[in-house]
Amino acid sequence: MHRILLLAKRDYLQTVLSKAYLFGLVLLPLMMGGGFLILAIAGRSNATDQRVAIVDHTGVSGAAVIQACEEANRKAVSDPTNWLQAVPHYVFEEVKPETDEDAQLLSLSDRIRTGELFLVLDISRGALQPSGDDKKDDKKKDLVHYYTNSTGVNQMNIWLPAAVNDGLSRVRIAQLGVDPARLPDAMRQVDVVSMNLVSKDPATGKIVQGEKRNPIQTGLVSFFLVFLLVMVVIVGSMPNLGAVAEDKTQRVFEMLLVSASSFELMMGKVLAALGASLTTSALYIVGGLMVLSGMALFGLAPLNLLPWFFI
Amino acid sequence: MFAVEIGNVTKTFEAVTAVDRLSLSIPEGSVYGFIGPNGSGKSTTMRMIANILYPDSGTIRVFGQERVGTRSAELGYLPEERGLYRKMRVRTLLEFHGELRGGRNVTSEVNTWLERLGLADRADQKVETLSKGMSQKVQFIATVIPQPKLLILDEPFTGLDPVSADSIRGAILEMRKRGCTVILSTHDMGVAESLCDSIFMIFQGRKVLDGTLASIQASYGSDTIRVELEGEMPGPGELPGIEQVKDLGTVRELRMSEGCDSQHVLHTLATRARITSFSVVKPSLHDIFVRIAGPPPEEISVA
Repeated sequence: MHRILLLAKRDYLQTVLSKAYLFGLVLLPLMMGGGFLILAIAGRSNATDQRVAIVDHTGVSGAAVIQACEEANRKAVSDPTNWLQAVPHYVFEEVKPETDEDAQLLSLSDRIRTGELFLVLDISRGALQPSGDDKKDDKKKDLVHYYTNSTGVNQMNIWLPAAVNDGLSRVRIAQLGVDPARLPDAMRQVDVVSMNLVSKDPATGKIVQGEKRNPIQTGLVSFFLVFLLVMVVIVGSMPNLGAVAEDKTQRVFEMLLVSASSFELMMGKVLAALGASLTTSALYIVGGLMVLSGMALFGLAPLNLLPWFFI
Repeated sequence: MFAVEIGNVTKTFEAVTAVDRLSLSIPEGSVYGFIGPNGSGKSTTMRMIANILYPDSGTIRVFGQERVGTRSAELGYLPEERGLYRKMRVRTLLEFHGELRGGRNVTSEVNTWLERLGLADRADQKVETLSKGMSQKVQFIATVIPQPKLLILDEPFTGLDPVSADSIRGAILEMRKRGCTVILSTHDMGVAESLCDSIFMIFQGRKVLDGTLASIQASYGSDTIRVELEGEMPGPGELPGIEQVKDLGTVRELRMSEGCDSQHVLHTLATRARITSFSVVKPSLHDIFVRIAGPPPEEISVA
């Protein structure tokens, strides 16, 4: 055990005092944070108008779907939680269905390929009469298709299904005889807000309502925790991987193998890596708490989760 | 009592047999020289004694015990390749190795050895700043600090200047005086002849020589003529009973075949040139080495 601890101590000190570790400690958060920032800036600069064509085979749903999509797009653009991701403005155009549906879809796909269109939404004839009992029949379920060349995740993927269904629902309700003028009020959505817990003021004994949670702040804390986990693993393990390779290539193992067994050598390395990871966790968590405290946001710190970063 | 007893040991690396059915007994308190061409199996044998490699078959006993998988401060091993932590400071590194092997604080021994090998002023420098020879000395100190009873040195004099080599040689002899058994490999036949009590030669994984220098030389007999002469040296074909003529510069070395009469050679030479010196000697270790591991006999010049 003495030999394992001795080997671990040497490797730990070499790791945490190495320039690579210290640079990594500072540079990795900067690089990862900077990377996200560049992505956000680049995304925002690319948030130009995107054209979307809607082919409505029902003959009556196009306008309602476009209206619902435009509302969803406006909401997404103004949503503060989307600060990291670009939300472009979509311009919708309704395209009259042609007799040869396949040829029309090919033509529209070519327009996507040339960059003229971003997406084509194809609403089939049965979209207004979906059957709830056809779960096993994919053809009956897949009544609306969209075609795009975009490979990445974009905001439209998030809100498009709900917006299309919203538009189709408006048409169906109108077909049931509801006054179309009353539809916007009937269909209006309410915000579902996350609140902090209600508590009792220990001084006055009064019940204090929980404050509204800031979605950006709560999102940032979750993001920071994931970020921290990644950095702890990378910053803690990389120098040790290098140390194992260095010991092998520089023939240090051969010298050490006379003094310690291969099990003791590897256990020493594992303990050193563990120590380095715990040091990284401690430094980042203390730093993060200091930043939150400085921003008067210490209450957002998930103190109950932090011990898990040391296990 | 033997420090090391190797019994019929074989070690292969895939298709290559590095050590082939080797048996060897190394007496306690002796300096045993391992010689042999590159790739003959010296280092593999040493690594097996040091428990870094394990034999495929056969037994290795160190101080009477088989120690497969165990570690002991009784054994010190200096690998051929330099295996030091380059970023560590010399003193810290030596204390680390000493404590790792001996399980105790070795600060005073470290200071003594640093002083002795002329490295005291480098004690607080990083290993990466040292020259190759200095690194070699540091590695030697790391090996001997726990005062092992068996010291295995794989080419300890490589890269050392004559002064440093002498200091290491002195340290080895002092270790022997204290009762330490020393196994060392070398390509310097002069070192093997002058430093080692016994010499073991391995060639293509097999033992080809084992014994004291005198006994090895005796087994070859006095089959070498050293001659200095004025005039042209006849070739081997012109000298009856001479297998090889080696031109060493001013001296020529002639190897006689079995049954060759040196007086007859002297007479033949005297008719061709003026002889200034003529002696019949035993072959040197270098000569024996070359006879075993070198190319077939022919007229060669090493001048």
